[in-house]
Amino acid sequence: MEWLTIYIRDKNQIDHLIQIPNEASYSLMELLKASELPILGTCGGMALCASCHVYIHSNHILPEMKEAEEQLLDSLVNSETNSRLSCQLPVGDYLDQLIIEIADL
Amino acid sequence: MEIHTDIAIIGAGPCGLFAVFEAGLLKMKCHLIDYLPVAGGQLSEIYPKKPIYDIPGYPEVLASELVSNLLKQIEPFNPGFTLGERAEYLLNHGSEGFEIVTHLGTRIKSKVIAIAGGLGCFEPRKPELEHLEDYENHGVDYIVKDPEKYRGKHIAIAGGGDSALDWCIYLADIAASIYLIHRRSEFRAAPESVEKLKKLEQAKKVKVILNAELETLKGNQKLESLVIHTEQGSIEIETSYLIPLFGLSPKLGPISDWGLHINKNAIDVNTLDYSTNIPGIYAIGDINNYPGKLKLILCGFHEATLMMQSAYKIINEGKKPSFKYTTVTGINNL
Ligand SMILES: Cc1cc2nc3c(=O)[nH]c(=O)nc-3n(C[C@H](O)[C@H](O)[C@H](O)COP(=O)(O)OP(=O)(O)OC[C@H]3O[C@@H](n4cnc5c(N)ncnc54)[C@H](O)[C@@H]3O)c2cc1C
Ligand code: FES
Repeated sequence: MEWLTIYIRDKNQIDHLIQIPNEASYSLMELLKASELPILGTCGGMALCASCHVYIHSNHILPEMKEAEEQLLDSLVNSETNSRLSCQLPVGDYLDQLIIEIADL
Repeated sequence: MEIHTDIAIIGAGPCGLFAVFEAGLLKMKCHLIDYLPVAGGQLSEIYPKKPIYDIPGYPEVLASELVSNLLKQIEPFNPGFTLGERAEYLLNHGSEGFEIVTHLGTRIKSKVIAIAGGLGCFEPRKPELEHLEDYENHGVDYIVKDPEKYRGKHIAIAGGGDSALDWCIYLADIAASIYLIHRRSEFRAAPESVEKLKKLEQAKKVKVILNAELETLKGNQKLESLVIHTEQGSIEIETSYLIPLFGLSPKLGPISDWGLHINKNAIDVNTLDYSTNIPGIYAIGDINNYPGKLKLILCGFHEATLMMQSAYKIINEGKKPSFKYTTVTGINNL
């Protein structure tokens, strides 16, 4: 698969389709940022800033969280059970058709 | 309080700090303002324990170490600091210079302003609670500026990260009582801190409430109690202070209303001297924008150096600075 389809759910529950290149050397955060979405990625993907926090609204099986991601999400006021740091999700086939919502900063 | 200086620097991150050095070489005095209670900007707030590899002359340096070294480097120039305050208003007095007013009312008067605000002012992430603003500075504090304020007081800390635990441990001997409120069933902060917290809980110095959400703030003019939603239902605890510690995130904030040309959260500058569209105001480091801009510490240092040459002319009525190597002049003879 050359391109992946991702849906961005907005505050009105409307899903917007975007396509990102299926390039394993990037994280989801980097490609969302490159698509001009409001993802800052301040720490460059080190699970230190939470500026790439998203909620996952589809039933995809995602890689397990590492300690740093769990710790950071735990310290946030708006993290939920479906929260992930998009910088910790490497791009790959498994992300196709993912539905996400970008969390407030 | 009113402070007079040559150059007011907004932001005590690495670029603001190094700007003090470059100004000092040209005999100009600086005053730094930062909302964070410590200097260092992103290096102190986001990655103090990470090594940096692209600072010239340092094959590897910890972010916190770079900040201490910068502070040491500028010590001879004795800069002023207003920490824990946000630069809120800008008054332009024309030929008299500028006046910055912080959110706590401190006034800083200067001929030149250097905005080294990075990604913006590190603002606390706030819990969603009704009437929260009414209690800010009346019991609700987002940063611990002076721990002594809590001596003998009943306080509650909300949060489950390192800073929530660190402050809970620090304040355990100062406050009369502490509640630590966390949304999850366990802490994933540094294991040493979790261990210390357990001991404090056993010694009844701290009461930990897990799986709990802040629900309501109560009090007349100032905070008196807090309603918390727990698995067993809602409970009310008496407390004079609530310190929510959910981390900080940078926001451009008040600077965006100062009449500067702003493009995608950054200030447009002229690369000749990093001046903005307002004469006398410069922008250096991560906060500025020009073709080819790279958000790197090294680039900010260069920008600080060039901007000070230009600022010198404003402060010294058009005189040009004479260019000298530090190897020739040293620092202490300046
Ligand atoms: C995880 C991470 C790793 C990095 N690694 C590197 C690296 O290896 N090499 C490198 O060169 N760079 C690196 N960077 C980038 C580097 O940290 C920034 O370029 C640098 O911090 C910019 O410095 P600054 O002084 O411009 O701003 P900052 O460090 O952002 O400091 C700005 C300060 O201004 C304050 N401020 C802003 N507005 C106001 C206001 N209105 N009132 C009061 N205070 C205000 C803020 O609170 C903040 O403390 C990294 C960044 C991150 C997050
Ligand atoms: S980019 Fe900073 S946590 Fe993901």
